[in-house]
Amino acid sequence: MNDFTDSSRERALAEVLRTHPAVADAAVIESTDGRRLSARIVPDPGAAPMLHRSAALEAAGRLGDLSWHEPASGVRVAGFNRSETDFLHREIFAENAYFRHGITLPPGAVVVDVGANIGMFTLCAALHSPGARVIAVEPVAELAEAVALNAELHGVDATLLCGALGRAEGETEFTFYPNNSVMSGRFADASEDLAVLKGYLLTGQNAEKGAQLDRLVADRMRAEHRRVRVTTLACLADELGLRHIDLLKIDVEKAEAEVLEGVGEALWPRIEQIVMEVHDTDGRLDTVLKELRSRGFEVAHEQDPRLLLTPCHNVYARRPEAAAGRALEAASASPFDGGPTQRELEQELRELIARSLPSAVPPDRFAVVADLAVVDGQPAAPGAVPDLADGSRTAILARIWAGLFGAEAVQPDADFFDLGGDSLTAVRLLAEIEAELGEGALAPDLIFTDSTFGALAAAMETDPLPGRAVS
Amino acid sequence: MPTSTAVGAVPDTGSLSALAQALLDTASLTRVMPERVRVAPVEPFPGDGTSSAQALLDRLTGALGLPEVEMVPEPGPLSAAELAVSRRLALRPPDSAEDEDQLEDVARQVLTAFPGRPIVVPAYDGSPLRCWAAGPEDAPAVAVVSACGMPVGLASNWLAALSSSYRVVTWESRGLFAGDDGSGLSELVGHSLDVQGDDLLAVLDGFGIPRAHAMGLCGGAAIALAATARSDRITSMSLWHGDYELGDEAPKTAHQRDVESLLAMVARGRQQAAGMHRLMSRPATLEALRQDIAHYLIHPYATSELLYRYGLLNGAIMSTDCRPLLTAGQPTLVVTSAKDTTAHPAGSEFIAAHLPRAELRSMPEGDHLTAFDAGSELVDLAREFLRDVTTEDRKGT
Repeated sequence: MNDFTDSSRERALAEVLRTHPAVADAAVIESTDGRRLSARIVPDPGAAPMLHRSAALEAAGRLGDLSWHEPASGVRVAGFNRSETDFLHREIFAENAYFRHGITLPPGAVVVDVGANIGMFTLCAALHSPGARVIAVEPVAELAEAVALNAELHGVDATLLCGALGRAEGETEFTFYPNNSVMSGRFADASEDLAVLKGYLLTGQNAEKGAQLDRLVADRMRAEHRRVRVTTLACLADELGLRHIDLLKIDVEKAEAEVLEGVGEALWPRIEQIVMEVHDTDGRLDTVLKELRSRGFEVAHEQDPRLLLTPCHNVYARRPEAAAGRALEAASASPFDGGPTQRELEQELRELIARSLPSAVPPDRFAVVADLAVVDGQPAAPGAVPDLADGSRTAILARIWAGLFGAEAVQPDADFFDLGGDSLTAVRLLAEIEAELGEGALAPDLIFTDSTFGALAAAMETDPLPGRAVS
Repeated sequence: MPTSTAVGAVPDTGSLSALAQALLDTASLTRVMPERVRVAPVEPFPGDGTSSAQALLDRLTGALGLPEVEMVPEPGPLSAAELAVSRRLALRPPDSAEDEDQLEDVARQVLTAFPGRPIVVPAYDGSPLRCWAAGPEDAPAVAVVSACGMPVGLASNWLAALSSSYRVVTWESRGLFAGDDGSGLSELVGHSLDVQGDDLLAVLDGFGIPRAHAMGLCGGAAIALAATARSDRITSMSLWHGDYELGDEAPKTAHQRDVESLLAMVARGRQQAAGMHRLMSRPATLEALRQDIAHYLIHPYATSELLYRYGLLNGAIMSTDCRPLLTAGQPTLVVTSAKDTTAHPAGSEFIAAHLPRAELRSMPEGDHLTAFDAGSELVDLAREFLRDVTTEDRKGT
């Protein structure tokens, strides 16, 4: 038998949670059907500064269409797609893809990050070079917002330009792949990009297969076309008063030669080091290497074994006389020092409950919030969230989805698996949908094939249940 | 004189014998999957290593009487069950020449190694039960009742730990394991908790054991309870990290509720099970499982038919109210741990409080799966209890 009533159980759990040094305040709430407990945690600004700042940014409505991702211990960033965040973290931090072949960072480095995506390289450069000034260039507004948010979250001095760099000032067509943002670019070509993506997905540890590969590729290559402002690196340097650039990083999906053409004669001698991804089509790699050598750089290049089936190569260029700065190593300690991630804190809190209240059922879910009173009953991301009370199937799915992943995860593009859903989470989702709408309201396969909230909601709305009118 | 070959495959642990053991250890999966199971090496083999390794695997599976497996260079296309087999095999190119002429001897040794080949015993309704026995035939008997759908390998630590002093028997769940003879799954005739409790008694009959101690692990604890409530041939029980349906008397963990939902869904029909099976075949499913025993844990999820039957069998175990079974007066040891986040310890606490002669031991450490590890602390606890409750048996023999 339970020793205490429900409300005293929740109070007791909250009291235990508050004893953790990283918890400034906590509440435990029971779901309306009485089956689930949720914990809301206000992080302590001293012991959990990263979580504290992220909660404040989210409460201020800054998260928008982004989500919090935690790709490694101690790392929390705002991201667009969880799998891409994991990829970027692995490439930039774990594998140290850019700081090779003598590329280093002096203290207070001036770094230009062209094609910043969500700012993972910006963070890497700034956190490894005390006092660094980073200029991040990103044409996709949603990703640029992530750069700004991540810089603010981690106290990084970053100047953000939401636009593209090219050979001349103007405007250009730009293709944004929302589900594969790292391949977005000015020179996107559906069939060419498809081949590159397939080449990547067919290689390496996580290689995908047959029909699943085709489905995955089709989903990832959904494109949005935009127009973006273009400037040159020379103009940008003038505008920002950059006397020199310690490191120019370029990852712009086939527009790399245009970025170099916009450097300008006056700026070339003031660039010490360059790291760039080159798409080797029509002899571009050779052209770039020759150009860099002719500008006085020592040049090296390599190809990631996982990209063997793609034309992507990394080029490393440094001036022989460039002062050696701090070399970064993949295995070096993480530069993030903002306290625990939400996942780590949750694990510690579960252990704390197991020790302190061994007979209690721990909360199913932990959410980090800025203020207990404000967040209760206020779903995040106004406008993108369906009206949870309107009784439609989408609203029912939204309510259940929010219960599993948090209200902020109720977004059309939020992906079940990106949010951390696994097989048993899928079972819980299906069970809760069935409890509301009856058996067969959602086929299990759909979670596998159409795993975003929007696609699942659409499937539920268009698939009439036997003997049940659509709401 | 044996000759040497320079190519082939060995698991991480080294020898041809270890590869044979790994193949046998994953046989519950390779025997039951409809297509030839694909396996990938730890790293791609250089040169024509894959074809040479394939030839070795073919010879070894042939000598062991197992279905062939197909070696593929990369793990990319594999399902979760195939990845589990691959990881258990952990194929690498050998550092030095392998002596393959001893392959037949190696296969024979592995097939007869502990716990040996199964003996098939008929259940009361005729269902074939794959059983194992170890230890002196005249020693007091212990029936290890493992979790539903788990291959014998998961219980083998307990068989090994107790068989020096006891006649230890166990069996694999009805209808969830294919025979050694390539005949596939037998029909699933009944699946209620009572029927599964009767299987324990049928196993005792099969080995001519008049009475025994029932050692129930996880879901096996409910089966042991059911058998004990029906028959005084079970003279004592130990229930380890049991998973019980007790109505409102004890809370369940989120994991228990989720698995119950899953079982209810897949038990509705083969079509529903097939849909869920596709979802659970994602390689990511494997990441949630403890790696060293993942090839056991994934067994009931390996095919849609298995998942359907698992829904019926384990669904019955997890949903049948255990409260009417708490009348059994046999001495009982109930073991749990506050750190078990799979089966809520409150269930064990309730069982211990309501069985007439039960003793509760709440261990400071131990997640759910450690119950199967048979670590020294748990083995000492089991031996101590068994010594107390089997004294009369020893005197009588």
